[in-house]
Amino acid sequence: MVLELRKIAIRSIEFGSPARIEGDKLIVDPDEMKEWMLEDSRIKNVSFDIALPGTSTRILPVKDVIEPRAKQEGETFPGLFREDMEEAGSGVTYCLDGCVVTTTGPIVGFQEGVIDMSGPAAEYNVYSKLCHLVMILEKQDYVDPHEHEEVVRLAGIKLARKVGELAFPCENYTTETYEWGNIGENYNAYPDLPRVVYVYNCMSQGLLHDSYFYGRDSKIIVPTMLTPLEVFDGALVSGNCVSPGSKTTTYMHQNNACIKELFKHHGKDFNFVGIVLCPLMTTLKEKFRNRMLTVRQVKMLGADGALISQEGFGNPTTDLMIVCQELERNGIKTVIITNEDAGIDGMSESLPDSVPEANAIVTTGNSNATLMLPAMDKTIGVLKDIERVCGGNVNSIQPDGRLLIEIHGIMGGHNLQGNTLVGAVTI
Amino acid sequence: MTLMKASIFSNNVDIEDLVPSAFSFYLLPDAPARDVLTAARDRIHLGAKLLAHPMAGRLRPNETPYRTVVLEEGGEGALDLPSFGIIEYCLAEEDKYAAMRRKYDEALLPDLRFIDCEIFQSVLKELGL
Repeated sequence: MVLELRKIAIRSIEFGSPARIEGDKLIVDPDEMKEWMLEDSRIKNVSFDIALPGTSTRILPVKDVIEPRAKQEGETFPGLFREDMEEAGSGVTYCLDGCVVTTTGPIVGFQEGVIDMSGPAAEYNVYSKLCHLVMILEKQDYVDPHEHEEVVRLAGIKLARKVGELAFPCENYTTETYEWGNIGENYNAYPDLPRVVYVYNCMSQGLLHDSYFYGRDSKIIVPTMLTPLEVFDGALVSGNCVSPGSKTTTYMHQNNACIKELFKHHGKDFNFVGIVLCPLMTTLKEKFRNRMLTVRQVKMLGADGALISQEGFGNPTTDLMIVCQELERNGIKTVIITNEDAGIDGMSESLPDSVPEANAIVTTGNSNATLMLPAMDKTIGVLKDIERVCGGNVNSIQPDGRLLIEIHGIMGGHNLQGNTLVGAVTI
Repeated sequence: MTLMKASIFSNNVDIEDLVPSAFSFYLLPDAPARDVLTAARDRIHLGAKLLAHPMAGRLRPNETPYRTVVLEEGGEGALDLPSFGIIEYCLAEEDKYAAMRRKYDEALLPDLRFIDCEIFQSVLKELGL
């Protein structure tokens, strides 16, 4: 399996007609995009806006962030729009690098977080460095919360695919090529290096707590082997989960930092032999079942070591810990990535579960720490929604217009695949 | 799934309509989430087991006042150590977030009950109910 990612660098977005890419500028036609979106009769109205890096702009409440990707042969995000589907992860995929489709607007209860395009919050997340084509959707009155989530999810993916197709005529691109063999080929590729498997946890617990694998709700799959190339092609899509700092948006799936890092060391420091997708369920029985099935597959892949990433808050730490424990008991050295919830002052117990075997932990930071954000000239969305955003509260808006928010309220502020701008590196 | 005897502790009034008839339901209306967890902890001390993680979903203790705990009763008095460990961690989380307690927007409460019900329904589905 070979996948070529053709990356077209986008550095700005403008409205205009016809839609096209000129150099590093993406030009999109709001009327045309509106027509595409209104093909779904559940959408009453839609509007668009643009947010560019470095500007005094704030987006909230953000739902999903998606990198436009499209294929001339085959399809990106398979399983979402058609009955038939092919395995993702081969051929040529066009990617608009530096640009995203961002969906916004309230669905139920607690809302997603904030993206600031400048200021202190912009120092935390990768999203602030991207050009955002923001879509604000209004649903028909009869659409219930479940369908509302689906409408927003599908609209975002559809727009990302349509916009991605604008890259087809582009000749000014860079390429990244990834190859992936079958289990035997991968196992034997670097016999002198330790074999490493990535355990990819994803939320699977109900409305606004879900992920989608080839269009299917991940609650109804068992732990499954998948290839990194499928992930790049959109086999995994976010279900608009409500946990801004630690959620895995579709962008974070498409650009999974663990996978990229594993590829960087593949063939040099270790042999990256596979991924096991592990749904994070609600009941202890399913958690233990998924532990057993995940560890079984990691063993089948012949792993000497494993890396586990997680999503969400609270109960997923139990999954993280029990899988780590079982891998270690099977002689598989395991590293886990998690954020900490150590209180505003960082002095509290930081994890809601732990096991002695978890002796190699990478932290993505303390989500409870607070930041004072300056007022922005422009807000896309409703500023008052900060009161309903995870990490915000009814006292977030200061009399002078500033915002007091937990790091957790910043989209991707402590992303759990480690895709943030804050971290410690060895020099 | 055949359960010997299950019980639900919740401070969410909307859960009641969703509780299967064979379950015992203990509603603690308007009680703090910590009281729900404590009531469940006491049953665990008497031999009950957690069926679902009490912090299922992803809202933190200072982001929702609602908590619903699903237990299997009838453990013949033997302490189930995993359940004991998890419920103690949950109580510690409640205490940690007490210092970061937020004022709830009243208009938000029905939505928070709704999300709690959604997670509870996922629990029932996972239990095959």
